[in-house]
Amino acid sequence: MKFPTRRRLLAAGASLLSLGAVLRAGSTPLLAAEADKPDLEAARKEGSLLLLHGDQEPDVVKFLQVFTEKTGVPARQQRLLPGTALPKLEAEIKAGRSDTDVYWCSDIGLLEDMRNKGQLLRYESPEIAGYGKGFHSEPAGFWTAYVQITQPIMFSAKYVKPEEGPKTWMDLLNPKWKGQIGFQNSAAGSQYTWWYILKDILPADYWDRLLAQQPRIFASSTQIMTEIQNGNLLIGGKVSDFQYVKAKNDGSPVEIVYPPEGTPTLIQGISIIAGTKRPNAAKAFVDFVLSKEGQTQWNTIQGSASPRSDVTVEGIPQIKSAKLIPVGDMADYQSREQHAKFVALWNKMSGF
Amino acid sequence: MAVYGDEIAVAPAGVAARRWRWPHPGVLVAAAGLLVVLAYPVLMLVSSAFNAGDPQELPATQYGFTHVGELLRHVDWIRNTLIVSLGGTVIATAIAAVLAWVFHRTTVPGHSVFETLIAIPYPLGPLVGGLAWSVLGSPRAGVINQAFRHLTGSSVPLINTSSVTGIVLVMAIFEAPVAVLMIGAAMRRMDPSLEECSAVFGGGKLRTALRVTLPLMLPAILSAALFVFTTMMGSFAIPAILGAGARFYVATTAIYVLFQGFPPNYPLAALLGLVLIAITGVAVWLNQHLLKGRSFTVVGGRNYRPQRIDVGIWKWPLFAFACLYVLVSLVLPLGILAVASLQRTADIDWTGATWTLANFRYVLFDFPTTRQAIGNSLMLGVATGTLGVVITGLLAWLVHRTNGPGRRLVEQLAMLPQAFPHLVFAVGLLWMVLTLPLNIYNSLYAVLLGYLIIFIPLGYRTMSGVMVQIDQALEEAARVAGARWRRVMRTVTIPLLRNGITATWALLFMVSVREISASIFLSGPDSKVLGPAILSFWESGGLPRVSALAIVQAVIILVMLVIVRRLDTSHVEA
Repeated sequence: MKFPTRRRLLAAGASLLSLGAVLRAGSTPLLAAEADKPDLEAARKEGSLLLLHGDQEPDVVKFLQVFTEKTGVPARQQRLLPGTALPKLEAEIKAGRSDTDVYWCSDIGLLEDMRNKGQLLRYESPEIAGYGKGFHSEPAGFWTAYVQITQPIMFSAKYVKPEEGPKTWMDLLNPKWKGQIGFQNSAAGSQYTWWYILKDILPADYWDRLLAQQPRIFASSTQIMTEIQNGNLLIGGKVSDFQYVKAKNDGSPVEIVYPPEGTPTLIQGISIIAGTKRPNAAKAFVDFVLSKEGQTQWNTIQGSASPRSDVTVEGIPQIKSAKLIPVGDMADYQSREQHAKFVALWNKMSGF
Repeated sequence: MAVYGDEIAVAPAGVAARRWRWPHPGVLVAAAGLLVVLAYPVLMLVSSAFNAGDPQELPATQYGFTHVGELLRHVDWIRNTLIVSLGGTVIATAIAAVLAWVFHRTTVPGHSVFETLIAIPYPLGPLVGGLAWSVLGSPRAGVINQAFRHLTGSSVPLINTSSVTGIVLVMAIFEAPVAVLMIGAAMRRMDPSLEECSAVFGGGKLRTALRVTLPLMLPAILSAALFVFTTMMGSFAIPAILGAGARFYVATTAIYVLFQGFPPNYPLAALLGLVLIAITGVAVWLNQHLLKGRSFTVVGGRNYRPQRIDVGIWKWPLFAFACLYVLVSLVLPLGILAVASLQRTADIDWTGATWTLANFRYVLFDFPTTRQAIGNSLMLGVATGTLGVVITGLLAWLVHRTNGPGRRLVEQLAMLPQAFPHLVFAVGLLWMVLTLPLNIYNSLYAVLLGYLIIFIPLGYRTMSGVMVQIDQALEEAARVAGARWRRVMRTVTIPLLRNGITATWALLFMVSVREISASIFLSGPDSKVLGPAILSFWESGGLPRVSALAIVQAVIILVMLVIVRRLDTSHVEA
């Protein structure tokens, strides 16, 4: 059986999401699109751009250095997972103390929520033309996907024989993995998305049974990979696929498993905060991130796949046979109720 | 030189005036200032804890007890906090009492070297300790367990630092040095005549140690124990690093988790913080009241040179105990982090074939976040040390060198932050700076303000301890000779306090550089400091790089320790 590609799947899923969001937005006033091209001279004088993100800090720093070298616009970053970042950002915006210009978020639902609250600036970067429907907000310009990530199972062949490792999501319930499965914490947008997608695919009692396995919860996929590599943790129950690329580059014998039930796949979005103090720098950054050059740079640094169809980076596995599943219903996905339900479940999962 | 913990008893604030007098203007200003910076953050916590409306509303607009029931369902967080704090305190105090006695009262060889080495683990801090012991003692891949399996073929780990016992032991190991210093300082000031009496009347060495020395030291031991207990109640780094994988949460790590996840549960976090403040407040109150009225006539301001006891055949077991402590608190942690910092991946290669210095180059030169964090931490260390000395010196002067009412209140307010776990207070302070029209949010000033407040008790205790030992007659003589206040301070008081000032400055510098619990909430994108940078690297940077950064932090602190010791030696020689 031939499965559609990850890019197509994501595009189809995200189209649905965006449609839902548009319907949901209803009477929400849409900000006029800011289509003005950024003035690079002005951008350089605006001060150091601040990027808020939840990615691996060393990767983001490296990418910002590339951006600054290319444009002459200075840039800084702060790493906070979406669950921590959003309340902080909202409190700052409310108090008029936000310094954040651009937000990279692994939970598109939260970006939609921010957009509905008028917290995002609409900027129609000319680079959005390189992205298919579903990889950007509708109407375009509030957020655009800058990366696509799948969330498979991983383990180290040094500590788990490949033939004995889990092959399906149900295999994670095998008692031999008790206390040896790692996930990210409830602040991680990718963890929320992973749960959100699988909750309708796996049996209803799956989560109680997974809870009984006493999984271990980590702050990042890097931490999970560190523990897998040194043998402290046997199975990464959900590890971002770029960690596999990094581990292989380090010569680590890591195995990746795309379960037949389907592997959650998600897009992460870039957006500009409505009250940005550095609008030209922010737009210049969005243009660069979404450009073919920017995507190639980011994908090379992170080891991830681009939503752009004209960007293919060597060394990044092209998944043709895996069944990848994107988010279905955006309105439901972005709801506070689903987020609260997830946080409650995941806190239990972490023994909290 | 006065070292941290050198002072135990702070003299009472003076004899109460019989008729009403206005407080000294400085006392009024100090009391008002302290009241504002302490009360506002606590009020923010109270407001959030009883917020019955939108949990993100600051300050709250609807009040109720909604979250009290929720907290009652999580008494395990408080129970766990009490277990690790009480267990850790008992072990740390026991280790400290033995080591202080060994170093100061026995002929066990190398006591002066041990005394120097024992001063190092405390400023290195729990973050370094937690990280190192997570590499050394994790059940599957811990270096010690791997070696044990290799040697014995056993499948059972020798130690497990992710267990409750492991967490308690690691906390005890890294908090014991401060108790050693506190108890040791009291031992140095103990009049040996009672021990000599016991010996004259035929009391054996062990009997004298147990029946005379120990009871005499009890106030100091109790004081050290309560100090350690309050510190452990607010401890974050070790439970966060060792407890997370073991699904073990104490109050501080629970608060940290409650701040994560969307939507966040600020009210429950604030309520838990208030409970923590209440418990530590009771401990501080107990400390003050248990020591109130205790006679310190045998533990005075003078330093004695009591005869050291020859412990006979116990000499070598006690020597081995001291060596073991230095091994687990200093040699092994720094050693394993040094080795891990030379690796390319988290899988440690012991052959040395793939070792690299690239991680040091990365954290020192290539990675702007760590460069900024190192620079900011150094700046904050200097600023906290300097301003902290000025503030706590003035507070100690106001309390011990002025007359009039209100001094006791100033002293109590200065010691109040001891009851505030750093992480909890930082949450309140963060909300304060966010809601006040002060433009210091996310800046180094916010972090500095936080450090100054949370470290006031430490600085004040050290400065007070030195001030009460200086004979007031010298200042009075200068005044009688016609010198004005400024001249008395410049020519008499400050020169006499020089050692105390150096010690307080160094102490405040070191505790600032190693601070993490308050910094994780107060530092922003432009005010990154070492503690959170190490934590962030631990989360997303990988073991080799986080180890390199921890080693850099340790080197900064060790260099400061060496400088202070050199200054102290040259001053004594002069």
